[in-house]
Amino acid sequence: MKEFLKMQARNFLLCCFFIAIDMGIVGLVLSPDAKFGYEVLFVPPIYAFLCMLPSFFMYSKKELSPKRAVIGRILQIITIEAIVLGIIISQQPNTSRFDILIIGASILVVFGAVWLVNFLRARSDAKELNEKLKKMSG
Amino acid sequence: MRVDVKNVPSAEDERVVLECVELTEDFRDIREYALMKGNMLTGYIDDAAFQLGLPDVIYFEAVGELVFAYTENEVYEIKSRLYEIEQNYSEQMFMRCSKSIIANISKIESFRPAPDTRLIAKMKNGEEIVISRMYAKSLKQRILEG
Repeated sequence: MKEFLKMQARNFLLCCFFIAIDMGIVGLVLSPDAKFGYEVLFVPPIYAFLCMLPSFFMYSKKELSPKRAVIGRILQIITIEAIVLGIIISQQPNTSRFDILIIGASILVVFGAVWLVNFLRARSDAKELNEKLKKMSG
Repeated sequence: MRVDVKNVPSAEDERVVLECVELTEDFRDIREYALMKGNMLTGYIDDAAFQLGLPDVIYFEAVGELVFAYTENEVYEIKSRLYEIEQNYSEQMFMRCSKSIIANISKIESFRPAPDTRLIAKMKNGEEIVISRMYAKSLKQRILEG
């Protein structure tokens, strides 16, 4: 559980970062003249928290096989898309299909970016360990 | 049961001798314990007992209540709990990789990241073991410290 919480905390911070970047880019493309108040600063942590929720519901003490873990990830992204788009549509029923598509795609990009950071970290660990194993055997 | 202890001049002469009418469960346990203290352990295939060298074990796996030792060519049932194996052999290149697996570090060929960002260890017999996040840090530390 401790490792799981550490991982979620790291993913939360990564999500905050990527959501802020994503909001900036999508905002510049869709409505470059829009002006916001300070409350917009709370949007990345709120959405990052919402993105973390499915992981807690899907947490299992059992060791998942890589295949089942990937299935879990797919279910997670589907749930995140449903939560975030559900909130946006319920708050702004007039949101156009194009905007929904862009937001949906940007959720995928944020999810992918968080996964990529974690994957690169694991790859770097694997590389470091492989170098040490080579030294040990040779 | 009578227990005799006899002093011997050197470590090479040290041994445990069991004198029994029949090899009962109790004696088997004592034999198992004595063997586990060394580098040999007893593995079973269809109730037939075999002596196997600890360095030949690639990994131990718990499947339900049973524990198995995997070597290059055979799979032996081991009459010990996984935590006992961990306690007894952690100083001999064996390390916990997940809740159900203890691997021989010297039998790891390489590591690669899994799609779910955990690490996968490829063993020298070609099998792959998923390293749980809970144990990845200590495994990494142990390998890097040599």
